[in-house]
Amino acid sequence: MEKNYNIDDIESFLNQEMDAAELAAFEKEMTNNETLKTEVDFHDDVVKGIKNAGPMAFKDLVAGVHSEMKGEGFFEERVTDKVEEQTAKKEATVRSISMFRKLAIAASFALLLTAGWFMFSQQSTPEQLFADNFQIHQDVLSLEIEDRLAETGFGTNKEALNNLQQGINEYTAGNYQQAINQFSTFQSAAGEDVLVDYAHFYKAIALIKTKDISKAQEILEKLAMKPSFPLIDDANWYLALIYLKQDNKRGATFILRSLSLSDTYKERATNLLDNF
Amino acid sequence: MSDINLNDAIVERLKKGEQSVIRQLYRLAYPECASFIKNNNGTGNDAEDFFQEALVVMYKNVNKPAFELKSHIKTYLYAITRNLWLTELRKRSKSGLKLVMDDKDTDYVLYQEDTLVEKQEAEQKHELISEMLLQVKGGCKGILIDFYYKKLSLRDIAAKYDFTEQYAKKRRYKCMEAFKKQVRTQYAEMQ
Repeated sequence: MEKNYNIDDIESFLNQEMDAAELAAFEKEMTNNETLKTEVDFHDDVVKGIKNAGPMAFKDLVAGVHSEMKGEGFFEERVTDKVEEQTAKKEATVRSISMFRKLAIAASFALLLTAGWFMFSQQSTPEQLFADNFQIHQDVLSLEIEDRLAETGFGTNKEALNNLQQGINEYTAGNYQQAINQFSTFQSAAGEDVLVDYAHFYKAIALIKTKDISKAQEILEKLAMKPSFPLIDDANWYLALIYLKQDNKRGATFILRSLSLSDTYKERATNLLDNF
Repeated sequence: MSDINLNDAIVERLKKGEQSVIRQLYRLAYPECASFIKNNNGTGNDAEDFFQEALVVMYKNVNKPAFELKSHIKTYLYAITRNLWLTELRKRSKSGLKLVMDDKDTDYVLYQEDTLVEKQEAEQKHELISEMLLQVKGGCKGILIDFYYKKLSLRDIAAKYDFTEQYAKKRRYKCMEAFKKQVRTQYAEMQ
C-alpha cells in the first residue's frame, strides 16, 4: 500500500536517520514514484539554500555594522594605525630617557602622562558602551499578529493588524520612520488591543534608531513598569542602554542589577556592569 | 572576566548573530589585522574587505557542532584574517613580494585551513533559494535558519522565541511548507 510521506520522512531519509526497513521502503517508493523523488530533491535543495542563507544573512549584518562604523570614522588612519603609533611613542620615550639623563624626571612625567592617556583612551565611553550593546530587537511580533489574525478569523481588527504587520516589516527592513508611522496608526485604531504594548515597544526602538531618545525613553519607562508586558525585561534592557547613553550610570546600574537576575539578560547585564 | 569566559561569551553572542558583538570584534581585533594587511602590500580597502570576510568565516566556524576555540578570540580572528590575506596574495601572484611576519605569538594554531580557503560561492540554485529566504518577512526566516543552519533543537527554538516545544514544532513545519510554496511559485514565474 502506498504511504504518504511528509517532511519528517523526507528529512529522515536525507539525514540518513531511517532504519534498514524504512530505508528500503522509501527507496522502493522513490523508484516507483517520480513525484516523491522530485519532492525529495526539491526539499534537499531548499534545505541547502536555507543553510547557505545563515552566513549570507550574517554577511549582510557585518556589512551594515561596517558601514555604520565607517560613518563614525572608525577606519580613519589615526584609528587603524594606533598599534604602530603606540609602539613608536614607547620607543621614542625610551630613547629620550637614555640620552638625556637630566630630563629623566620630566620624561617620567611624560611617560606617566602617555600611559595615563593610553589607559584613559582604552576605557569605553558611555557612547561606546551604548553602541557596543545596542542592537535592534528581533521580530517576535509577526507570529503574534499571525496568531491574532487566526483567532479573530479576520474580524474587525484585521485592518489595524495589517498596519501593525506593515510597521514591523518596515522595522525589519530598517525603514524606522515609516515603521513609527505605521505603529502610530495601529495604536490609534486598535485602542485596547493586547498587541498595543508590542507596538509601543518596537516604536521605542525605532525612535532610538531615529535618534529621538527622549520619546523612546518615555515609552520604555512605562513599559518597564508593566509586569503584564511579555517583553518587560527587554524594555528594561533598552531603558538601561538609554540611561547609559545619557551618562546616567546610577539609573543604568539600578536596572542592570535587576536584569542580572534574569535568564535572558544575566550575562549581558553583568558584562556591562563590569565595564562601568 | 577571564579569556575563556570572554571567548565563550563572544562566541555565544556571535552564534546568535548579535550586531553588538560585531562592533566589539572590530574594536578588539581590527587594528592589528589591518596593520598586518597594510604591512604586506594591502590597502586600507583590502583590510576592511578581508576583515569582513574573516568575520563571516569565523561565524561559519563557530556554528559548526565540533567547534572549539583553542586560543584567545582576538588571536583566532587575526589568524583567519592573516590566512585569508596570504591566500589572496598567492592568488595575486606578486613577484618578489616580501612579507613582514610580525607575529610574536606563534602559539595559535592555524586549524581548519580547509575552511579558511574554501570557496564561498554556493551553487547558483542554492544561492537563489538563500536570497529568497532573506526576503521573507516575519519570524519564519529566523526559525528556518535556526533549525536547519544553526541546528538548534526545537526545545532551544521554543526557548528563544518563547514558544512551547509543541508550538515550535508546528511553527517550523508551517514555515518550511510556506517557504517551499514560495520557492515553487518563484521557480514557476522564472520559467
